[in-house]
Amino acid sequence: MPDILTNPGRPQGCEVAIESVSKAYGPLTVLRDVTMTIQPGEFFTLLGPSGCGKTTLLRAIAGFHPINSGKIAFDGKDVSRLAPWDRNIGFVFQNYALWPNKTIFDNVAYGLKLRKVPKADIAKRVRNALQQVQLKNVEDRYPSEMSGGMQQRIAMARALVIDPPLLLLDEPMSNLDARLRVSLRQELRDLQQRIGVTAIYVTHDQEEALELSDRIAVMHGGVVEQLSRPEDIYARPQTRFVAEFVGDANFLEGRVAEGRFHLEDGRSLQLAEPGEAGPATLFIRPERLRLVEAGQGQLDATVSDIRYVGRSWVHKLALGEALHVWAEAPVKLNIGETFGLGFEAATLLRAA
Amino acid sequence: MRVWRDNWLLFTIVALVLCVATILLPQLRLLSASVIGDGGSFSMVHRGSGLEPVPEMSDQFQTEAVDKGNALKVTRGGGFALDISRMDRQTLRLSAAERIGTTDDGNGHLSLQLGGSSLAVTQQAPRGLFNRTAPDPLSASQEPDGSVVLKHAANAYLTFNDPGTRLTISNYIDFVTGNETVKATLNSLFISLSATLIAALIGVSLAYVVARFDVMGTNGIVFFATMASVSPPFLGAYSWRLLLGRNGVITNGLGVDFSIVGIHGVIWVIAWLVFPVIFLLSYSAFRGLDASHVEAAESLGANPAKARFSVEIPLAMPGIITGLYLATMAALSDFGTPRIIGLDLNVLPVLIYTSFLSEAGRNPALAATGSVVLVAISSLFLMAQQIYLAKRGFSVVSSRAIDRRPLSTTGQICALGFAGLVLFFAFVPHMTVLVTSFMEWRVGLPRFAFTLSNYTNMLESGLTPAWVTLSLGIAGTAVAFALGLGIAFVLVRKRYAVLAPVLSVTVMMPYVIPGTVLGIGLIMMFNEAPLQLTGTWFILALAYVIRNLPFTVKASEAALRQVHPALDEAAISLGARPLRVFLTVTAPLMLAGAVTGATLTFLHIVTELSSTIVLYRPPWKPMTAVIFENTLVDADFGVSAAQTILLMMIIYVPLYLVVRYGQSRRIENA
Repeated sequence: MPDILTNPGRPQGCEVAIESVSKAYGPLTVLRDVTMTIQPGEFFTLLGPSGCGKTTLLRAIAGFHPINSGKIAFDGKDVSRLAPWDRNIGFVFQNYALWPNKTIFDNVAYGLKLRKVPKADIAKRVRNALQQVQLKNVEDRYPSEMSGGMQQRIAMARALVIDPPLLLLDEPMSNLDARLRVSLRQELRDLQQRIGVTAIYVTHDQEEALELSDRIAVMHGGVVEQLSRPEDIYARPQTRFVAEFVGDANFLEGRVAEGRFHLEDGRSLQLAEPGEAGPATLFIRPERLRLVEAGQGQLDATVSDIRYVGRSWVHKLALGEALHVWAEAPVKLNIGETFGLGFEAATLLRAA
Repeated sequence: MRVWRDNWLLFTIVALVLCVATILLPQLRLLSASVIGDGGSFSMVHRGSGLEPVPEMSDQFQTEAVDKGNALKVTRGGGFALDISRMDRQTLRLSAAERIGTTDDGNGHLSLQLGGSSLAVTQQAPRGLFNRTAPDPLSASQEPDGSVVLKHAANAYLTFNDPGTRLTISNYIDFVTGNETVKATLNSLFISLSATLIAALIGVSLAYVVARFDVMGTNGIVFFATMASVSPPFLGAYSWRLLLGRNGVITNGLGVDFSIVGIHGVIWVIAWLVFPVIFLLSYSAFRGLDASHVEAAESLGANPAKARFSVEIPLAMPGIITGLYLATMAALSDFGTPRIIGLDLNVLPVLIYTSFLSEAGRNPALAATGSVVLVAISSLFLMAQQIYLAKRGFSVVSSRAIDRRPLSTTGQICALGFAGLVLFFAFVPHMTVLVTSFMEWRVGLPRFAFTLSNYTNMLESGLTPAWVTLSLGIAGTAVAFALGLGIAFVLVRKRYAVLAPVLSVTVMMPYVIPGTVLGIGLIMMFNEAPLQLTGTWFILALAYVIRNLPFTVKASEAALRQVHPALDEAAISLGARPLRVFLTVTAPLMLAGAVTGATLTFLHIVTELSSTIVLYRPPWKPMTAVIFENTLVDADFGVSAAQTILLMMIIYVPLYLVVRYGQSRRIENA
């Protein structure tokens, strides 16, 4: 099977170094002193809600937005002042941005023609690129004749056919339906691993980010809240924002004293790693909260509401008048029953 | 320099300079011509019998004969006073409170200095039939007491002229106090508003019926309305006068004592001229309504009539208002109809034209003042429209078009009858011209005998006007189209600080400048070397480009807004530079939308009359001017009719092609 890998001139993925990058539109600051280094061949995700600056950062890397200060370097070479057309990157747009007046072939071949690739090679490379994204015999058709998923693959082929060392993806899956998104995710990951290109992926979908990425930068208000491997983002969020944005979470406000976590109503519980004394927020995922018989846990709680979510039941457990936690269980419990709660998997978040 | 690196910035600056020079400066020139006046003049005759003032030839100066014609008292506002007394048949003494200076360049150019202004003195002396000697020249000598002794020819007609320029509002005072000018202004307002009202009643109601009910042949109705919207502007006037004029075919045939000539006829004809634009804009506004808005009203208990007046019409209002504005502007600046049907009726465009160009009583200051007033009125209309849109403006983004309601047989017949009647009146002029072009003409009256002689006569007299029209149409469209694409790109995508907003305002200015005014401004601006363009093909092309620039820019802007910026960025990320992106990606994508705009530009240019009539000089005489002048001189209409048919073919063939093939080439954007 012909493969982009067989192209001997294909470069390896490049390293992207972002140093103290800031960007403002008038009085509105969208990026504040962002610093990160993306490794060659890494699948790196910028995750955050809309308006967090993730797309701005991606477009700054592409060169579409000039940055106000800081430096962006590819493999150590400063590209901050380089025009976008000179950066040699692949970019996949949210709406695919396929030119509706050009055939699929002309869409994919555009970058090759600009690079003055011989005609025979263009045809071969366009075919290879389309095969890489599982498409065949579509060269003569127009984008409007293709489904959303196919358009997405073509956009990918157009970006990859020029063998860029860096592939930037701006929420490429957000216009697809949920099931297709899941299958394309795996394909995208496989393709990126196979060709070794560095990929920077922007999304607001935490599931997508966790599944695809080598590392994730969670952004909020123009700053990076946490930059870690997916499992650390999920299991050990460093800020309340990260904990809330990725997955479901229970939070209990209180303070640490004498090795125990004290709730505001005076009850307390033992923690594995209590750390320093002072105000803190206790954080635990609903599926990590252990349910035991009443009196056997660290706190007792009564089931007050039940929701069915398919793979399990989620129970609302009242700890007191205005205090409750959510806990996931494989079986349905009864409203009014009392259980003990085990907080062994909890971590503490401290105000910055 | 950033200018040299950024091609678009360079283009913006060049475009801005050109627009300022050809759009803004001529208007400023007009404005200054209306507020700057000279110091006035007075004349007198010195015969053997005494001194006689000539009040009808004096401007700003008051002259009064005193001492039984032996002396004149001359005064002017601002304390100017001069006494002239006779010494002998050829000698005058000029004295004033202060000392009078004189200069004489020896070539007969004599002038007096008095009270800060300078008076040039000229004489016209009658020369006897057998008199061999030239009349005595003017000479002046200073007297020790500060007065001046002026020697002149016998029986001379002396003119004292103050050439000094000064700011004055006297032109405006004359305008608002003059009988003719006030009447012309009121006529213009009355005609444009009442014609728009009639056209709105017809256009909006027909648009509603066709847009909201399942009327048979809807596409045909819309196509015919589109055809009517690009008719030559004088066609209606000419045909209606032919049918219903003092000696009209129908009035004569029926023997009724009725004539369409007069203000009622002007309103009638202009209403039919402007109704298509109201219909088309209202139609697309009604078609653009979102089904869910109407369904929401219905679900809350509104019956169709209630929903119509509480939801549908209010939501379509921005489109209707834009149609009304365009119609009012067209009615206000129409030159052909009042000239042909109005006869002695004065309206502003005609007043401006005659005071600027007529052989007798040429008065450029009046033309300039009238122009400023006309532009001010149209700016007020524009302002009213803009204020309305800003207050009530919203854009309905239709996610689901409304289904047309089915009609009962009776309803269908009524709707079709209404549409048929409206289209019949709109196309009476076209049919009249078509029929009369095949009729024999004798002394200004058609005879019912089929002939092709009108066409052969037209071919014999040469097709030069057709070539002038075509060449202007093609060249003007190409330039306006290219500039429109580029300027729209700058305005939508580049958005340079200061430059882009200024360019936008300048380019849109011709929107409120009637053709007559635009033409006069261009003549004032380009009448002198090194930019002497008047009377050439180029000044017509320039006028047409300027007049259509707002439309091509708007059309291109709309087309460009349909092109998602990511489509440009995709090309950039693949390594294409800005110019290449524009040529290979942006421009081809805008083309589909912009071609429609370009076709309209072409149609506007070949039917343009009001600026043409001011600007053309033979041999560069477009068809509109030829036909218009032939209809004015009451010559045989036969050849004019044949020429009009040729002009209509130049208009309707491209229009048909665009409507027929434009749809299938339209590209769906993601």
